[in-house]
Amino acid sequence: MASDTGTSTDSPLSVSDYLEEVAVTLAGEFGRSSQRWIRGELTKDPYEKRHLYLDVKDASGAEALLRAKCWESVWTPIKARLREQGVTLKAGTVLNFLGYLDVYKPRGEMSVTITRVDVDAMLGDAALKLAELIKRLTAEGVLSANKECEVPEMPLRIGLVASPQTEGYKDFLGQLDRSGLAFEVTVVPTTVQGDSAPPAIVQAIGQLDSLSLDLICVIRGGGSKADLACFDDEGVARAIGTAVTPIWTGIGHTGDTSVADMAANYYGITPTELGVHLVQRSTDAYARAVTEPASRLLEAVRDVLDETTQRVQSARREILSTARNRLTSEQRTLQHHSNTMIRAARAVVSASAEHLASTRQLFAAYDPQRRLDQGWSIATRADGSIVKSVDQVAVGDGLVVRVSDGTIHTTVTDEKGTTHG
Amino acid sequence: MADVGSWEVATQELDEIVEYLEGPDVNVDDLIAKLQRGAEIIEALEARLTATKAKVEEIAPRVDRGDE
Repeated sequence: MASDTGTSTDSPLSVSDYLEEVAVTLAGEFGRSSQRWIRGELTKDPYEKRHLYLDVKDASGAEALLRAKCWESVWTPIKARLREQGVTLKAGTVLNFLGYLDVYKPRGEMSVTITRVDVDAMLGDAALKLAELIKRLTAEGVLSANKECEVPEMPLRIGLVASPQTEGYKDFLGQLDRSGLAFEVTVVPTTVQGDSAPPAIVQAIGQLDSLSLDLICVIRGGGSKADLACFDDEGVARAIGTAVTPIWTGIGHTGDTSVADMAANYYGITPTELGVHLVQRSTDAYARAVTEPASRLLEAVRDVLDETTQRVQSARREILSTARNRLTSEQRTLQHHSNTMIRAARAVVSASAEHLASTRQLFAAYDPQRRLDQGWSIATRADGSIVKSVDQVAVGDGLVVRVSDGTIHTTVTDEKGTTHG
Repeated sequence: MADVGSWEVATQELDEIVEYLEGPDVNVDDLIAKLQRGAEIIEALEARLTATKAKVEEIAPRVDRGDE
């Protein structure tokens, strides 16, 4: 054992030898055969160039820093599993790892070589953080705010947050194009993967929200959890929660439900499904507003036409019979008038004739010839007046006496007063 | 053919003639004149009726189509 005092006459070690001695000593206590589990928080985003290099500190905040590295052969499978679960290593990530200590002599640095990472613990932490985020956003009303935004019955002016040329983008727009409806889509091209995605999505939502559109759609096709991790971002959820325009999401594939989905007014399980839902809503509204009323109108018009046709048919049948019946009636009336007139005329003539005959008989009863024939005679004076009294004559007057077969001329020789017999 | 006016006027006059002839004040001198006028009206109206019937039957095929 060397003393910490004295001189360097005892053959001082070279730096190299010293570091070698340190390395050997550490290897005995912290080497491959004596690996330790360590828990630490990344101080900054790790540096990756085939191998992974990272700085970790105490999660509790105590001042302690440890450099670590993970060789490519170890890192690659760990990285794949983390990616599959949507976990990326970045500043603030806490991880439990197994490793051994070694000394890098060219720099005189000491670092830990990681041989294992407790991925399960990391996932548990990530899930816990996500659950806490959801709980907090729910309590603040962020996840329900956009659901209060009223979606027009027929949303046609659509804002789209998406990455053009992706399958999800094409699938979504394909549904809109094939619908035949006049959608107006305003696209804000946005990266939808990686660390730069959340602020880009937030900016795109804000930009579209200021345009007073009917609806904003945020879409992203399927991918790993890591690909979709940006949609679990708190900033994205808050952007949706504070937007005044209703926001619909169509992110990932079946089974993925992101925080953005939870905050959205409606979420489709895929971009295609979201497109189908949007088209269906507008198609239904179109049907309610246009197609169905038009159909009912057409039906009503047909009913009127049918009814009118029936009326015309009925009129055809009735008009002829009515005209014929009327003519027959008029003819009968004329015939009746004719008969009545003739009968009345004949009655008048007959009555007149009877009256004449009666008069004639009356006249006949008073005919003087009839009296003369019975033996009576009529005396008249020279002036033709009938002598009805002795007072009308005087002795010497000439009289004409008319009998049944002629006249007798005589002279009054005497006149006597009233003697009847 | 005597001018008897419209159908309505003519039938009105005919009604009056019949009423007169059936009434109590008819005399022989008027009888002939009224009867003559009545006959004229009846002939005119019958002629009009015959022409109308012919016209109705001419129009009838256009109204009474058998295919409907």
